[in-house]
Amino acid sequence: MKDQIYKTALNCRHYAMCKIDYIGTGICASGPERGFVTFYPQGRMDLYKALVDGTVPVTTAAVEAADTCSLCGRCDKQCYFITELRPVSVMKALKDLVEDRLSVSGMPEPPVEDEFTLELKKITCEKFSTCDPAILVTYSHDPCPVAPTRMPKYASVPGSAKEVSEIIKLCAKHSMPYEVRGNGSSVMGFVMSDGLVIDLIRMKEIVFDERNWKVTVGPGVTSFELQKAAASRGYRVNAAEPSAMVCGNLMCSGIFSLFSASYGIGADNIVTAEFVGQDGNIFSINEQGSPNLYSYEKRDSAAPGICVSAQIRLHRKPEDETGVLIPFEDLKEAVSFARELSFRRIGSAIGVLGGEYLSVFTAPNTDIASKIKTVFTKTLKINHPVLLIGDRYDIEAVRSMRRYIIDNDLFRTIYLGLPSLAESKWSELIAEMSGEKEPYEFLSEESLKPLIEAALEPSPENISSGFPKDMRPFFEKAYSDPDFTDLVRLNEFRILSSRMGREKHVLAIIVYTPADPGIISELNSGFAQIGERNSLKHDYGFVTPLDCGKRAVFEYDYYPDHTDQDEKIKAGKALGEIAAFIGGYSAVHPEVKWIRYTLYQGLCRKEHILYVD
Amino acid sequence: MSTDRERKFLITGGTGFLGSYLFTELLKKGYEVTLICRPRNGKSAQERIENIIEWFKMNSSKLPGLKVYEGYIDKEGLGLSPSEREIIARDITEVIHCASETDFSERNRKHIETVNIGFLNNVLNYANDSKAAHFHYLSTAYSAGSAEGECAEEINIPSGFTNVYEETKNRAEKLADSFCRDKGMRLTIYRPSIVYGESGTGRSRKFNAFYYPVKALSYIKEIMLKDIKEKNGTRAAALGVSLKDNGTLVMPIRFRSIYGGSLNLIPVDFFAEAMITLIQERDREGIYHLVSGSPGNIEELICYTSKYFNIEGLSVTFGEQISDRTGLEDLFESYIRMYLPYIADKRKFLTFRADPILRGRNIICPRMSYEIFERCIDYAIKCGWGKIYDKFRLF
Ligand SMILES: Cc1cc2nc3c(=O)[nH]c(=O)nc-3n(C[C@H](O)[C@H](O)[C@H](O)COP(=O)(O)OP(=O)(O)OC[C@H]3O[C@@H](n4cnc5c(N)ncnc54)[C@H](O)[C@@H]3O)c2cc1C
Ligand code: SF4
Repeated sequence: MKDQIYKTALNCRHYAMCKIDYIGTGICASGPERGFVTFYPQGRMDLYKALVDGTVPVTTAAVEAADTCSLCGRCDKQCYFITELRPVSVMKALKDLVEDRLSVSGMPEPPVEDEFTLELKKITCEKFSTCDPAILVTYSHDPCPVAPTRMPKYASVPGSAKEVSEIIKLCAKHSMPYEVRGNGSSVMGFVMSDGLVIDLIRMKEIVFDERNWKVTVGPGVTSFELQKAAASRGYRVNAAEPSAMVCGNLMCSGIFSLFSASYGIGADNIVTAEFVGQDGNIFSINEQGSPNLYSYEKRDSAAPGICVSAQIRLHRKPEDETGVLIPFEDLKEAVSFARELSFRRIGSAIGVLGGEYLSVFTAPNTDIASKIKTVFTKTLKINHPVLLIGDRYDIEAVRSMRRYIIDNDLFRTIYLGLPSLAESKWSELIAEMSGEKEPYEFLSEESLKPLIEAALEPSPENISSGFPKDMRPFFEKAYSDPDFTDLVRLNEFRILSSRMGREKHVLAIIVYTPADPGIISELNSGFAQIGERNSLKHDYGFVTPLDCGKRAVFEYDYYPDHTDQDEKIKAGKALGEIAAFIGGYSAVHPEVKWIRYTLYQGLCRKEHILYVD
Repeated sequence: MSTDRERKFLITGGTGFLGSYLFTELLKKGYEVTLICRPRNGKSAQERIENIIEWFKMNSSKLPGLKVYEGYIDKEGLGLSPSEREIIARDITEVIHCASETDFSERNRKHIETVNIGFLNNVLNYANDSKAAHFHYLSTAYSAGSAEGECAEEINIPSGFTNVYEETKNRAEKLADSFCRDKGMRLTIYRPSIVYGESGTGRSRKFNAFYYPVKALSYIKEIMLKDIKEKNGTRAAALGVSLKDNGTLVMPIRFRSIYGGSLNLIPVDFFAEAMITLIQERDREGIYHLVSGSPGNIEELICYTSKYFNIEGLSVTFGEQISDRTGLEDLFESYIRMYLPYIADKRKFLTFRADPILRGRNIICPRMSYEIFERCIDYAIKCGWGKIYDKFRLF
């Protein structure tokens, strides 16, 4: 049992999904109250592990972290939904462990506060700066297989741009190294520091300026929170991972999503932004003389400063918008089709998905996901569905281009009936009866709808049967909400995508490339070979066409178990091969660009990254 | 000329349905058999063959005549090392090529051509290099092409084919014929029709062909019964399906067929016995049809299925199209479109060459009766239509 609990703690993926209210559980109450990640389930998992390992003693903050957990059970549902982990067992164990240790020592160890800590506290107030190792340890690592653990000396959660500015000036004065952190969900070892970690989570300002089609966000606003606020006013923003901070995401990757097919990337989605520069002074990128963040260079770059607010563009949402999946067996065909859609400006979001994504995103657990993957790819021959979000004119156009599509109703039937599809003989039946037809063609035959529905028995109860018994009533209610099975909402809010790291941590490799089926297919094979050679789980991720089908963003994923030393070594080796492969390939095709260089250049104009060799 | 004891066979496709019956029968008769087999699904060649031997209730440790080599017929020299090639060449006098792709789909043409023609070429070359004196090629009665009427036991030059499978098997026969003529190797071609399980026991290692629609009907029945019994039956009703008080499921489905057509099914025990008998007829060359002299028809199969599953409403209509197809009829339509030339076959396979030998030894193909059907479907259901691998160790 203890081993199992430790394993759960060890397995936390740091995707920060417990820090947003994405399935209607509410979030851990102590998190927003205290700010530090230590007071969210994710931090408590790390703290428990550190206490067991003896990396940190039971300190004042450790006791607070244990005490402020009310064992409400929210994080169990949140975390299970994504990773199949049940953190509450860890929370209980943390409480027991702290109590046990205190019963021996009597008192928690208070942190030894130096001058720098006191000065930080003066800026942020007592509560929001610390040198308590129980807190620091929760900022010391992430699952990146090649990033070493780095224990910071201090952590702060400032509440305003002014505080950030003062902190930076303080760091400059003391030559204190620092790293700034959004939600830490880049998971590439970017947010660790030997000095100070500045966690921006408290800066949650959202101010709409509808007259100018923009919204101003603070650096602690997550994609999910912004999308929710925008949706409540009938707008949409281009946002990606729900737990990623919008400003952090902009800085880090320039925000690519399936909606980038129409809304673009990088500078396309911002009006302007404010920064605290390395000298601690605030500048706006719209000022003459400010650093030119619209440019792009193929090199590792330093942070131009800390983005303390960004004005994000608002997009209108058509009322008749819906989502469809267009099945393809062959990647090249699917990419050509997606490119054609983009070229003709059909749809607002376009993505060529893979069997892994489709099954892992929709299935309630790993077992069903693996069965469903076989059903989708081997039986139904849906290897590469193209996902399109569009209004009724877009959908009419798609229907005139391809006869067989999975509309949202059929998607809902399949989704809510997944456990039956995984077990059912239905898919086998249609595969064997398909003759010269592709098996998936049967899915969209109107006349077969009653048979499909009878076979799959789609219902909130059916899909919820894939969750542990005690959670089923909650999920039955959740899945009864049509938004939960609505392709538009699912793509706007992306509550499913971090499930790709459910079985093992995901290491995503992203390149910009011509939207050329041949090139994408070659890249795909090259990446696959690297996965094979290194015996790492790997799979195609997605392709989204950009800029009217001229370019595309392509993700390929590797899945190293970050808790296994061997797998980490393999992943490190694979990363070396990936770098060599992309380097070699882009020497021949300079239009192919690895996204690694966008770190801190994410605000660049897409023209600079896509079209300048 | 080799004596019976000296006859040693190299067999490809030993893990397949027909190949497995063949090699186990040859072993039972005391012949030496060398199998070329690739590893698959994490199982070595040896393990795969052992699984099959176990399925046939034989003991692999008591089969001194069996040799298994990991090999790949998609490669020249069958992917064997030079030393293996040398040993095998010493060990064999004849080659039996059973490996084949039975997919019909035009969309898979390239693959089907590669397997049925390209791989045969590799095996022929290998046989020649190994100084094998006799090449046995397992073909199909349907290599005769799509024309109605009599099909002789000779290399056919038909005007057309029903599908790419038939076409490639015909091309393969021609390739084998000219190659063997050229190299002075004896050639025998065996042409079975559609093979199903054992007539006496119902056992089978494959559940395709006629099993598919039967299995489909049994699945649909299960789904409909569940809808009627556990839900409110609205989906069943939308498909015109209802349950009678006596437990009979009324499931109106019209199967399209062509008047006067027949369905030539042969049980695998007949196939194996017939082919082994012909192989044992040493030095016999030529082409042999292994078919049913009194083929059945779809009407009979539908009667058997209705009776077996207690279903009413299944019927056959003759013609090009069914008007106002229901959802369930839509489901069967593409299957029927693809298999109609076999379900309602107007070809008649002559057996002037095979018959005298087989009948002389009282080897006669039984007509598919309800009893045989029942045994076969009982067995298919018992092993989950081939899914319960663990228990029955199919592969
Ligand atoms: C499962 C999964 C799927 C993902 N899919 C996508 C995707 O489809 N599209 C996409 O664009 N990204 C995707 N990402 C990447 C991830 O969302 C981004 O890397 C994002 O930046 C993480 O946001 P964060 O707030 O957690 O950033 P952090 O991880 O906290 O920070 C990322 C980097 O940005 C810096 N940074 C953070 N905030 C600021 C700021 N205010 N000013 C200056 N620098 C800052 C940090 O120092 C760090 O270097 C995915 C990640 C995961 C785990
Ligand atoms: S159980 Fe504890 S850690 Fe989890 S959400 Fe509730 S209070 Fe937070």
